[in-house]
Amino acid sequence: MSPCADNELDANFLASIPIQNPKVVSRRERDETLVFHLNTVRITVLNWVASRIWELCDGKHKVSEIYETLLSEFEVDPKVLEKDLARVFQELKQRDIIVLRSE
Amino acid sequence: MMGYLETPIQVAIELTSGCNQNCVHCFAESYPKSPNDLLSELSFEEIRDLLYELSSMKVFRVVLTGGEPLLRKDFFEILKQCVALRLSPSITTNGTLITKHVAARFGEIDINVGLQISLYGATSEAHNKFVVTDGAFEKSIRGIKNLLTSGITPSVSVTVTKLNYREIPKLTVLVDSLGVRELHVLNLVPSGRGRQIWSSVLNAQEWLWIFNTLCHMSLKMRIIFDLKPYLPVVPSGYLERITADMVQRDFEFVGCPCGRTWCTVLSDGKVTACSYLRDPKFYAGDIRTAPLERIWKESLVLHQWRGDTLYQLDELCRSCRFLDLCRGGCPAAAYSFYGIMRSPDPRCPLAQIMS
Repeated sequence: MSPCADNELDANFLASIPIQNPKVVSRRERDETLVFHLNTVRITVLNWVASRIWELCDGKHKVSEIYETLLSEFEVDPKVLEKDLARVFQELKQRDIIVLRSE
Repeated sequence: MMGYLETPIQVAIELTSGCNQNCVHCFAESYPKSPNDLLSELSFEEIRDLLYELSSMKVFRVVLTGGEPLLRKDFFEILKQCVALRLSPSITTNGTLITKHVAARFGEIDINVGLQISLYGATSEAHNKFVVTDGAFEKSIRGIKNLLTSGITPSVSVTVTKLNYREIPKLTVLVDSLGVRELHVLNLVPSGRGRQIWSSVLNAQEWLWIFNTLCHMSLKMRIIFDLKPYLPVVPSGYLERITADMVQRDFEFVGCPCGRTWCTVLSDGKVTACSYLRDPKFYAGDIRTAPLERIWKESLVLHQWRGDTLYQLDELCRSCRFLDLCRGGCPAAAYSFYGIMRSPDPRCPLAQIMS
């Protein structure tokens, strides 16, 4: 399931489990994360918030749990976080650096 | 991005200093060598240990180069190690040793292997002005065809000088017709033997001719050009496109990446910021005596290199309107030509005019 077009989080998306694509290699570089795709040979730079999301894409957390974790860790409006999270996952999926597994 | 990365994202390993060609412009001054000439080269075990270290440092990309890297009998063992360690391999080769069997072995690799083959013209005569080796052109073309048959699409690189820049349109048509999808157009480097043919370096008008010609050809062809002209030669209408392209890249380290995101390990284990910097005074260390990560972090040579080239540019560069995009060009070229790495890149049209 991918995020719906208007960037809100639907139930299926919230229940899905994001996993880092095994075809990528990532590393922390100060407060950013560099993600390298072995097939596309493309490097994506994640800022510190996206880096935290990336860490949580470990196959153990549903999107809803990642949302709750971020809400507890960052001072952010819940609606803003919803939109930001949907946008980040859409971007990560487009770049083929995560896959979303349905439960 | 910051001044330099905590560990490099790309490391070039010169697997050998030997080559089966003797190109007139070779910055590494490679040529056919006897086994006795190659005794100081890194062994398979030393390269394997280096690859383990690169993997633990989370280096993304390894460039296997030389000399001619395919001359090493253990080349595919080294390549397999890269793949097993999830180090993305990129290979620079003249392609002459890529037989059907060799191409098939490349085809067996299950991750993206970047293969870049050098050509210097569209005919044997034009090519051989550079490589000075009989039959080399036909063998390189055969290598490209063999790779394509095995499902690998190589890119082609061409170093342009006054000797061959008018060949570029014919070369483009040739490689496009073969099925190559990317042509890297490179400038002459005044290092090694490149210094000896420096009088053939292109001037602004010649670069502009290439730029306009390739822009025109790109409208009708599928091939992608990787061309980094010196910005003062770019017509103003194109500048916004180039600038936008740079901004949209995923990871862009403006200016010279050497010593900041990349480094090179020479065939005897010496480490330099850049393949073009082969003067022993630029050796940052030796992987036979220290881990690469320590060299990267602690080498005074690298620290000086990073500081000098970033902050102490010549006035010509500091006052240039392209400074934010160019950052002074290639410091190794400046050093090789002027003996001072803070000098302007000697290939820059503005620097050529001023000198």
